[in-house]
Amino acid sequence: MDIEELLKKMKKYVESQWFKLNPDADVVILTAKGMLENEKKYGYRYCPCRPVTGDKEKDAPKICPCKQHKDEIKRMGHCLCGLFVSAEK
Amino acid sequence: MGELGEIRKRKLKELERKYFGKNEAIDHPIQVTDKTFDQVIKTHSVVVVDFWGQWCPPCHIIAPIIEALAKDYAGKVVFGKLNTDENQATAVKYGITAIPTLLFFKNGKLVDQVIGAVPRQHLEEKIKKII
Repeated sequence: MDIEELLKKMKKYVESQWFKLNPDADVVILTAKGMLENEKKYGYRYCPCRPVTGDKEKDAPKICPCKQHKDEIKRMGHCLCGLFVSAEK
Repeated sequence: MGELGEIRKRKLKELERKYFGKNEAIDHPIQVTDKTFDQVIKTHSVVVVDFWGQWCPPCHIIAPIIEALAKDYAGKVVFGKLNTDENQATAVKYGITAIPTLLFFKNGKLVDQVIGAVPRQHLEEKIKKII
């Protein structure tokens, strides 16, 4: 997958959600590049803000969108990386 | 100071470095790896290690704050940067699940930690408590 495809996929994902992509394109692109690097290295698009341990079972919840992203957006207004932000931001 | 005095001063510094781990003031973050981690936290009395990743946006937000703190606290605190993409073992050992994470060590022991890109003031409060 290339970055354009991934960005399209992420835009589509947030269409059905109560949050949106960060309006700061630099944050979105850096995070997307990190996910693609992880895909090349580990085979999965892990969140670049969550270190990969190499244990597939432990790392599975880190595949973006990760297990914690909705809780984090509710709590902090953005996910750990800042890829997703609450709609008010 | 005479020549003898200079030699004495230089020798004394060498002995301090050798036996007490005292070093010249380090005014910039040093690179830390799986191989050097234990040595770094044992050599310097107060060390703050920034666990970071190349593709992590909040890591880039906190990086200039760490650089500025390294300059301002040179001689009191040594700041290290450990890339978690390249040094998984230390990240796993300390249970790092999110980056940036800052670990604070005093005399080789973990005494505090911070997760996320927090303001400089928050970090300074923690540093002042341990120096």
